[in-house]
Amino acid sequence: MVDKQQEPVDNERRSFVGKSVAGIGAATIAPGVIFHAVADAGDKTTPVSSKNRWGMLIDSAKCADGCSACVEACDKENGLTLSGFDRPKTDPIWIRKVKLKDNLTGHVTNLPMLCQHCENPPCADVCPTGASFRRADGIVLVDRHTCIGCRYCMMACPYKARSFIHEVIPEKLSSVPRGKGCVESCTLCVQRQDAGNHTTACQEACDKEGHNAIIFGDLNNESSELSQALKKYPTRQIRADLKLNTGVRYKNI
Amino acid sequence: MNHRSRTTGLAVTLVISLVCLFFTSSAFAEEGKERKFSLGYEADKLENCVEPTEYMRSNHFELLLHERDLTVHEGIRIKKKSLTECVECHVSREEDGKPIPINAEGQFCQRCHNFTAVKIDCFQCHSTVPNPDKGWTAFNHPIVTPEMDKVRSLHQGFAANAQQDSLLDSDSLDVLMGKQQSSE
Repeated sequence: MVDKQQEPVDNERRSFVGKSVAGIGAATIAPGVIFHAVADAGDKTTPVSSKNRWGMLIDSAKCADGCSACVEACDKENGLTLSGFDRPKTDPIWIRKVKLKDNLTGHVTNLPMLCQHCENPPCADVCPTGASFRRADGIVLVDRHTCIGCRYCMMACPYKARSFIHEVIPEKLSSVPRGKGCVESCTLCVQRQDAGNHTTACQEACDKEGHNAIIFGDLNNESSELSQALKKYPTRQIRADLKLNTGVRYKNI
Repeated sequence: MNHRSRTTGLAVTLVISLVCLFFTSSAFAEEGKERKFSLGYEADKLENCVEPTEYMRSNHFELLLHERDLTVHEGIRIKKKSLTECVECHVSREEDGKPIPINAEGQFCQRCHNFTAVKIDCFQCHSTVPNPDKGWTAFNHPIVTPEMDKVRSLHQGFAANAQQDSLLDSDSLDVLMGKQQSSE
């Protein structure tokens, strides 16, 4: 082994190498940073946050007997019967009308039942893949890319809000992708929310019919119509004993 | 290691790498070849939209997989990176403007995916044709009036599928010009 002479530390060389590495590193990373900043004016580039919490107040006193405007509107908005299977027992349904009768008094209550968008959703708890999740702004969704169609969430949901798609769907809307083998439920018209239109199809239809039984809005915003109504009137959650803290509340039931 | 064997080693490595480069250079030559699918796509009018063509050919799936997570979980919707927009531009149309499903035989996706034998399952859920008239898309102007929808259909050469009469009537024009209130 030949003895090597100890060379003095060449500081100039060190600084040169250091600077060029830094320069090359910056040049490598920069395109990624710059690329992500380029977007069209109409794009939504900021992620949703818990600043908003979307919820609903449904007044069952105003819900008219025999009216199914909300169901039809949801259907049309999300393309649920575009393919028209006409099998009511197994067709997916995101909002359904429930009729309750008090046996003692004979009083009949009508109310639409949909995904309650709980703060602690049991469907998200049981999902083996994490496909069922609660988005930051309170909307409980199914990530259909990850859903394996095990239907555990359908069993777990106390409100029977979830549906399974049993057949191949030949025709679907561009804005609402849905297909065979996955579970789905009310999305609070998330395609509208992300576009900045804070209404839902069911609420719109109910207003159009003149019943005004559904109020949709931001629970976290104190000045929203929804928050004002919740403050003013006594309301309750269905199955409040489960402590799910639902986003959908009911009045007059 | 002495000075001589080090030089020899370096020289050998250099020669081998040059030889390898020579043999693979034919791959680089393909860049110039025109491989456009002239099925009348909107996309043919542009050089590229999201990323350069060669990048898209090699990495479109990465882009799709990453973007879909951002969209579903965080609500980030970037129009030109959305699958809906890809379909809108790359779908080819029949004579009357009716779109042909993008995953049909001989269409945009299958031209490569058939050859590579990679099954795509996007369209089990996603729509194979653009259908803005039938629902609310995230990229419609939030307050779309029927008049605006008509103009949109015309611009897309989509006259055959427009909800109402395909030609813009004078009432709609007046609304758009601000001379009349919208019917909504």
